[in-house]
Amino acid sequence: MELNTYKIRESVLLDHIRTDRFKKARLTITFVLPADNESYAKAALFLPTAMRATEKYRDFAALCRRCDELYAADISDMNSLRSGVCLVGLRAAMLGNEYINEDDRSEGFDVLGGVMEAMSQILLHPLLREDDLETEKLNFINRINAQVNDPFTFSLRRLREIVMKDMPGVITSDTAKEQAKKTDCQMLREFSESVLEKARLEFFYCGEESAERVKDLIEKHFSELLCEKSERAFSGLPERPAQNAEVNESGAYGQSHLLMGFRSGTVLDDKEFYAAELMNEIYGEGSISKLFLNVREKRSLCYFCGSGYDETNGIITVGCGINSEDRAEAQAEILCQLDEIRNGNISDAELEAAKQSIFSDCREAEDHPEDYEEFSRMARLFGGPLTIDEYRDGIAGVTKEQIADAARKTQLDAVYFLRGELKEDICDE
Amino acid sequence: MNERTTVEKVSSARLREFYWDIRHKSGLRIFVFPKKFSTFYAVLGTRFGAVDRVFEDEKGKNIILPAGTAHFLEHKMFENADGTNSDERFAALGADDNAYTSYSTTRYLFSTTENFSECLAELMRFVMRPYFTKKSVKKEQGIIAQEIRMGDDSPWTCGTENMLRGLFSKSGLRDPICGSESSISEITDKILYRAHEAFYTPDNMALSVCGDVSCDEVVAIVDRELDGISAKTAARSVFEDEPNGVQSEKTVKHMNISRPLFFFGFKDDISGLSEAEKTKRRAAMSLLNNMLFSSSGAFYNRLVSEKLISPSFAFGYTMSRGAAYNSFSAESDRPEYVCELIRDELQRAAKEGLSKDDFERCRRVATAGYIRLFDSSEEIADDVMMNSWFSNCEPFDTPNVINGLTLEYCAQLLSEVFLDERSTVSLVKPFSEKGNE
Repeated sequence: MELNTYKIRESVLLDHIRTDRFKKARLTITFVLPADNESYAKAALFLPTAMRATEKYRDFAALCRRCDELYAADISDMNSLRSGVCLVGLRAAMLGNEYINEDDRSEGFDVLGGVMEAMSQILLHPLLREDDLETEKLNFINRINAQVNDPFTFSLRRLREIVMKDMPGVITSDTAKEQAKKTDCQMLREFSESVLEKARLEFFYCGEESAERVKDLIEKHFSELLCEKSERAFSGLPERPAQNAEVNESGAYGQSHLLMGFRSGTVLDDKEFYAAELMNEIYGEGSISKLFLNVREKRSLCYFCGSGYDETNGIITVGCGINSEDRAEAQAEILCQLDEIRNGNISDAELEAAKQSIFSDCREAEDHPEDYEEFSRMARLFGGPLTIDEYRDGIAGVTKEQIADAARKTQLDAVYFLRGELKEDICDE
Repeated sequence: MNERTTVEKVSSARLREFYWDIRHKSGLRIFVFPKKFSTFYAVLGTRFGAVDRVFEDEKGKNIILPAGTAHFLEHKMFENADGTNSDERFAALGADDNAYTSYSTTRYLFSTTENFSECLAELMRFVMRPYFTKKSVKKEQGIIAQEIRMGDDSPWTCGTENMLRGLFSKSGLRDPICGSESSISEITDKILYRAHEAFYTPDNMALSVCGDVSCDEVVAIVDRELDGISAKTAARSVFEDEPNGVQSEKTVKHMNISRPLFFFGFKDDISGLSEAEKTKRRAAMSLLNNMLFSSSGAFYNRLVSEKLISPSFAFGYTMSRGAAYNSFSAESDRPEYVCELIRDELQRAAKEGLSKDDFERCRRVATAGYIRLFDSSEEIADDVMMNSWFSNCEPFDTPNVINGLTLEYCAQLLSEVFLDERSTVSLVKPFSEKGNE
């Protein structure tokens, strides 16, 4: 599969993959803007509120029924923060025209056109009603509160607040809730206007339609968005040394959770990036990683122990669910396995398996067009390899010594421990 | 066992797809779905899950397995007699492997972009040739205990398990898939061998493969790897008759959560139904639920706009071996009230009738949803092919089944299935609400 990028306007791009490999086509519309602590809640509330009512689809049921008519097209909002960058937009998946009913096909039923029309309603003609905003504010606050329902997710968020506290767009749960409560429809309209007018705009399409057809439909349905955008430079992330923080909390759970955050000091744009990527693979990705084999298999301390590397900010997160009395042993083993890599104790089999796993992911991307979209966007925003082939070649050339160097550069930043303190007798009725 | 291996090509003009349906001489059913994807996906499954607690041995004696045996067995399958671990073997081949146990099945799978033949051989080899020791069983108890505790901290897992315990008094659906820390402490290597011998027989299993593969290639590998494997017939699981009524009408559990959750279930009686009738019922119940409760309908939107539920409202119909039920779940500050509203909505629809427009719209949605499954080798091999085999229906029949449904049949199910005396509510509430009932 080949991804081609077209410039529609200054700061308005279309990433396009033409293929008949899949039965469904994909379309995303993404606004890219610098993360801003003050706009956290507005970014989260804007599109969910917009989807509740538009000039044409006067309530959410009407929009959903229209999607049903479009052969169960699925339109959803997205809002994510990634190392100082905020991505807000809409995502759609729809059946290709080849697979709709013959009657509809012969009458020229246009699924993509219909989906784009619905998406343009959401972005350009939302009603942004007070009632709808109040409903979405409540949903937003409830979602934050519900993080306690999953102690691992809760622990991950707490670790993130500690490790990334200086990063734009990272705010505490309480601050996010307060912001949401203060948001009104006028603020939402101003935010919407600002985003639509100024934020960089990226379209992504994968399906059987040609780039020319997709561009024509974009001009037809989104002409109001196709103005030149004021290109705001993304400020780099603040550098700081590892803080070696430790936070201990407790909750009424049966299991305890140990989360550890490390600073690798290496991001996408660094030449050591490939070594850091492999270091994380060997350390904690998958069922033959050092963490899995030692913390789980050898010591039976947990059901799962693994690591994740965010290449946009260099943070490596390790997490596991354990008995509280095993905390010291688990924490020591997690650090011990990192030392093993620092000391170059990497077998040929481990290195080969790690490379093969990444090579396999590269090949699998052919079956997952969203991987192409993500890759293209990451390269534009954060630098690094421009193509999947370039990435694969970079991985292939990494040596054990480079991996050990990457591990030596990695420092523990923070430990978060959520102790489970559940009394059995208050559990059940 | 079959006298010889037979191969049949099954095609769908609507989907523009075909697969090979192979009945291997060993009794193993094989599906090969050629697809020009980069990823190969294979899943080998057996009709042995958490509900299979009792089976008849060769002498007709009932053998009772501790709860969680099927899941424990799945965990232990990856270790080999030569000291190697199949996880490592798959990794060396560049593949990802995994396994999972449900109430009625256990499945072992891999996905890879290269070395497909070697991976398939490894899958067949390690699943059909078990190796357990006292020491490795003991070690695994600690790991599974942590998995159990993880589930015990999940309000969705606890709420669903309590709902099933409320609905069923005899069915194996009452037991958690992982078992309990107490029940898994009773599991030994001998029990695992006994269970494997009883249920991991080719006639009780199916292999589903999707990717750029040929039928001949797959059959050749299966021929080789099953050579020497006993042609025994699978043991017969013994199930007690499930009474019509429910075990309890309501259960309440308090946990560390922010808002209450409800799990509202209606037991369905599928005894005496043929496989074709079950397939039709499953499709119709799914369509009926969508007509009444999806986000396109007035009822769901009323619940959300009145702030009675969070937007993540889950509903569905489940059919497991010998048992079936409808369920509804969501977060709500007024869970009992919402359950009453659901009951009222069901009664209103039964009284006023179903909308023809809604029926046709939801039929279109069901067909489109099915077609969209054919975009990934994983969904094809597992969700479509393997699930069809476990449900005793043919994979490409789904659009015909959907097209054959009638509004009248859906209305009939609406009045038959949602009976108050066959319902239960499982509530999970925050600790702060304890004592307020």
